[in-house]
Amino acid sequence: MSDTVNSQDISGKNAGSPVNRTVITIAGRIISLFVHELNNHLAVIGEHSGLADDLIAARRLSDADKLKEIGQTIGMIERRVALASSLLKRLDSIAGRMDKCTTLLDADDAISELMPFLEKAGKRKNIWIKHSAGRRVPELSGDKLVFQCLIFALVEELCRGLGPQTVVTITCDSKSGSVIVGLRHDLPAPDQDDSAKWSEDTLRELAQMLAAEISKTEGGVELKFVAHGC
Amino acid sequence: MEFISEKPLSEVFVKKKDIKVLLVDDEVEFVDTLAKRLKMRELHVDTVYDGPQALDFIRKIEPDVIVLDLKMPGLHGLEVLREIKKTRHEIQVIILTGHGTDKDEEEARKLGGFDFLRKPADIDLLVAKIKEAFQEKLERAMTAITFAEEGIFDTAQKIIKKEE
Repeated sequence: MSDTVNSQDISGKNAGSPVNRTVITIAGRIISLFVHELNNHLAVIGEHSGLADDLIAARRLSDADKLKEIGQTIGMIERRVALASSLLKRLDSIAGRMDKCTTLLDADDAISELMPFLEKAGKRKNIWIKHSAGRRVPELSGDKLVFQCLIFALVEELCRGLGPQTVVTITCDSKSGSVIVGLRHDLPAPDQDDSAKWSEDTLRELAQMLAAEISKTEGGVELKFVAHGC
Repeated sequence: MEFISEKPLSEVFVKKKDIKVLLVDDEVEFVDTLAKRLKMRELHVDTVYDGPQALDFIRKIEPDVIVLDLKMPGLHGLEVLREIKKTRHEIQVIILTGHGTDKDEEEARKLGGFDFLRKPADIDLLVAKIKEAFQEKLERAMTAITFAEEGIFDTAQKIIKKEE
């Protein structure tokens, strides 16, 4: 649960700063993935609904067979509507606080909210992104949107150097007044020369906005935040 | 008695189920449902779920028409199209994407794509495009055979590659 401590307008006086432009760019990427995913759901719903029409018109099938297949098709449509609706709620939750900067945030909650978009970003390279929420960690003080943008950019940047079928696990832990967010991959990174999606400077600037430190670890990246009240 | 039909040869001699269609899309539920609907329209349909599977498929079986998505994990649809056209010019490729830009469309046509449709596409339109693509394939093959029989192999090859 997060309480608003302070608020700034991202579209106001700081909107033109490079860091805010980065946040807007990353948020744009998240929205683009959202649109992609939502469009997929709509395309599937469209095909199922077309199939239901086809079944109604089919002459070769008995009424009992038609009813059975149409029933299954409606079930598929309902499932897709539920998935699309859940996606919309997540995006609404992210978009609804774009103008409120500093909050108390739960790292695991913020990552959970972002997971469909992280999964989608990974899937493009056949990389599986998992979030392993363990014991509850202390809250952080910072901008939840910037936090989510940082995690998103780090995951995209990490995936860039990884091969297909790699699993990237995101964990949150607490240690001596700090909250540690770890991103670890299970397979070694092959040598690749894809160009960087997000520069190290960009990632460090985002981390600075959250008073966090980024460090590379064996098999991943680690973010260290000061826990709220410490 | 009138024997000459005004219909193209492909429509006179070929039944829809003779048209072999390969659907390539990573959205399994979408592609399986679309396949079911095309089969109900008596087309012969196979499905694969990514670019490498598609390239592997065409090494073994030659589809007449491929309906290809663009944004797929691993290999982008335009790369798949490029690979197909390197070796199998005669296969017609229709792009069916939810996220294609005008630039993608331009690139797909440059690479030899037959048509570019956006999801959701009307099923009757898709079937019509598949038939058109098949017809073009057949007509090019027939013209190429005529040239080949005359010993003009260069032109025959250019016709298949859509260079003439």
